[in-house]
Amino acid sequence: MARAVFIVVALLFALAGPAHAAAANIDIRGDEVDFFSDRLLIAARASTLEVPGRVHVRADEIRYDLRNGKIVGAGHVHVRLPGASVEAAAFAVDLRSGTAYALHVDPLPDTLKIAHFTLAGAVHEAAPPDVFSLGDVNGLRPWIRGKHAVVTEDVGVRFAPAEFPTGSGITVPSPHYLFIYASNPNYASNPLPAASFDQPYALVTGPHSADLAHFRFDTQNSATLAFDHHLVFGENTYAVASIAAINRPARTMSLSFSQKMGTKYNQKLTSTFNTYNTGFNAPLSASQSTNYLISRALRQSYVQISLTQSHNNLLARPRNGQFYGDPGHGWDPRHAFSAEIQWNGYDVKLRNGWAYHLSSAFGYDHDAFGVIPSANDPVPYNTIWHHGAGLNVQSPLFKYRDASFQAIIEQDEKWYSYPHRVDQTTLRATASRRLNKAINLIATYSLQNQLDDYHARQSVFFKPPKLPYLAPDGTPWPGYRAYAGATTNREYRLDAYYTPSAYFNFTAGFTHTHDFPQFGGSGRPPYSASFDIRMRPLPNIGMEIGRSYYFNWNRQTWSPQWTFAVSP
Amino acid sequence: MDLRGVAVKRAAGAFALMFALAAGSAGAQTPPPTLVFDGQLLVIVDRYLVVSSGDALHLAADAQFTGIAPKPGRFVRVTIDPRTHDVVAISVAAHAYAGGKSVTEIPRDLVAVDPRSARKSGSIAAAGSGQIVQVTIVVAVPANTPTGDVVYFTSDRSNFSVAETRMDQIDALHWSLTLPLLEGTTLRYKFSRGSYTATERDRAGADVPSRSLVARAGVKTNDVVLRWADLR
Repeated sequence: MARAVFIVVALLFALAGPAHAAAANIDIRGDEVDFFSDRLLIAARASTLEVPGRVHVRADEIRYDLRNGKIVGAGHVHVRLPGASVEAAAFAVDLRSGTAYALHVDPLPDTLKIAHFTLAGAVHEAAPPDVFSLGDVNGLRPWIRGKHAVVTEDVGVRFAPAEFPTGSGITVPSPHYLFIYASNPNYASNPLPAASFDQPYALVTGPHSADLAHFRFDTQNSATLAFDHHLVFGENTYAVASIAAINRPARTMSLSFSQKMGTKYNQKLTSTFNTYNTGFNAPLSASQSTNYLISRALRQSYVQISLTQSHNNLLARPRNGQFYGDPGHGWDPRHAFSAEIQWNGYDVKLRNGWAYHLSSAFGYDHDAFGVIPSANDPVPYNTIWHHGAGLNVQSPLFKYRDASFQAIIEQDEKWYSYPHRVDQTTLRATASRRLNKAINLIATYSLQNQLDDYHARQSVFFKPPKLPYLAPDGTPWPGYRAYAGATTNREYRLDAYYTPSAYFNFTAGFTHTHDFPQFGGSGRPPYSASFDIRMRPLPNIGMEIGRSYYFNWNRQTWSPQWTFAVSP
Repeated sequence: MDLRGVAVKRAAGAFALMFALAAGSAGAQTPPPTLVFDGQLLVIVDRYLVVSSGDALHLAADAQFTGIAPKPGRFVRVTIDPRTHDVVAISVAAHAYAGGKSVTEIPRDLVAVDPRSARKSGSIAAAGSGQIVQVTIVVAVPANTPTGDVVYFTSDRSNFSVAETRMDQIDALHWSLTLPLLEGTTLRYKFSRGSYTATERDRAGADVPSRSLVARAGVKTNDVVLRWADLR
């Protein structure tokens, strides 16, 4: 299976099309090399900067604008170009266009325009007015300081070693630090599972690649390490291989490939492997799921084909036929294959501001061991077909002075060739009111009803539990016997936003849920409150902290963890 | 070595001075006021002060320097004698001077330059001021965005971390965020609901390229998320 996935990915890369020209590794050395992350600017003193094969600059001051690929040198500038050198009072070069300006006094101030890094053919011409701009970093504290930096053009900058100056005069050293500033988001996209905290640490970059380690924390696995490797080819094609929870027995490995093919087609391949093994011992469980998705945009809709192959267990049958190691690692031989074609319409706007869209699906599930668990039906149904339809209707946003209102209703139905139907209805209504420039209130009501209907076999699939049935908090819950496949979720929510300035925001939220089933820790807490503070102690540093309170639901008062984030 | 350009300008200035002295017998003639301009120092070489606009100003032999050491990247306030076209005083500081005229407004005839690379007359656009400006990002989200989900702003400042900065909800369909940014900064950004599987897509589910804005005072965007990756 892994070999097949690898071959498919290789074929997809072969179809990826021409790659971009490789970015250069630009070497900067000096008495002091500073990096300002908010400006993406390197300021170097008594320094040299070399772009291999293009230009070498030595100057009293060098500025390198990473985002725009522009370099300025001032003071005793010596420039070496292929086959020639220039002495100048100031020098500026645009790496992308290859156009440079050298300013010297001989005896009058004179500017030479140099094209394509070639002195031959240089002309006397005034430089555009912002060419020699050095930026303003006087008195500012750089984020990273060192004596040597290497820039992978348009991707990242690496300092080895690096220092992080703090405001107190203390610098925090690091043997290595790599900052990825690529404007292409595909250097960051990764399929790692969600975590309460995730701090990436870039290790290596190349013109088309980036390797990052992640320090993560989540409530299930506690502190974990993860790693991902990115391959990027322009804005339309990328692949990511990742492994999460390296330091835990339960690991997840993922391989994703995404490609946009022209204006109409888009394909994605995602493969996930889950294993459980300690150290280098044989795994106690191993499962995988691979999905291939291809979409084609039509004029007012799109069509999507989805193929999924799953293996509940990649391991051979255990000797006892049931589990490896302990019953917690049960062996399940099923390996379902699913195929579905979907048609989804875009929003159709009606004259009065209302809108709707339709959707439909047709597909099947297949498993040699039976799609329906044998405990629910002893007849082995190897293939079950399904078809579905959906309708979504949205109101316009009604506004009256400082208030607004909007509602949406969705209905989805799915029918199976086995006596089974899933019916889901969702209603959401939202009202808002701005009290003043700083305070905004949002009130939301949502209702979702879902019915999982197995017709005559309903009581087989939703067998009433034997009494006493205990809720997660240990409380007897006889009412659970009423659950027979129909669920209702109701939510009443009020959020208040206080934003007096761009540097501070406080959000408080109050939620009441009235669901079925919901009792003693099963389901959502009936009452919860949350707060979140977002502030900017400095213009280039943002901080966010938040937490929720559950009013003693399943013995929880405060939520198990804080949410905390630092942003640029 | 061609001094014609500067020689002509100096001769004209001297002639104007002599004319003024010869004509003025009715009363004492007040000298024309000096001209003051603010800008960023690029380099001082020989007798020329070069500012970051690329213009060079001739220094008077007795030009007065005040403030900190005149190193590249620092800011200057130059006082020019319009009669001689020379800089007679330079004040150097670590931060930009405010309230004065920019060096980009210096009349062309005050600039010392080899005629071969003289700039044509006309106004010169000033570069970014280096000031912090407030930029407001407003995004409209699809109506089926789940209740209780938070919309996040994600940009190249954090390598597109999917939960970079939480936005504030305005109403059922709109979220906003005000950011203080350095004027002239180019920002690339996208939106997400806090996870890799809930980033924005185009209507057919394909990845969308990042948006771009240049930070200027009062900029307000009106972006639209057409679809989320995990929702139809």
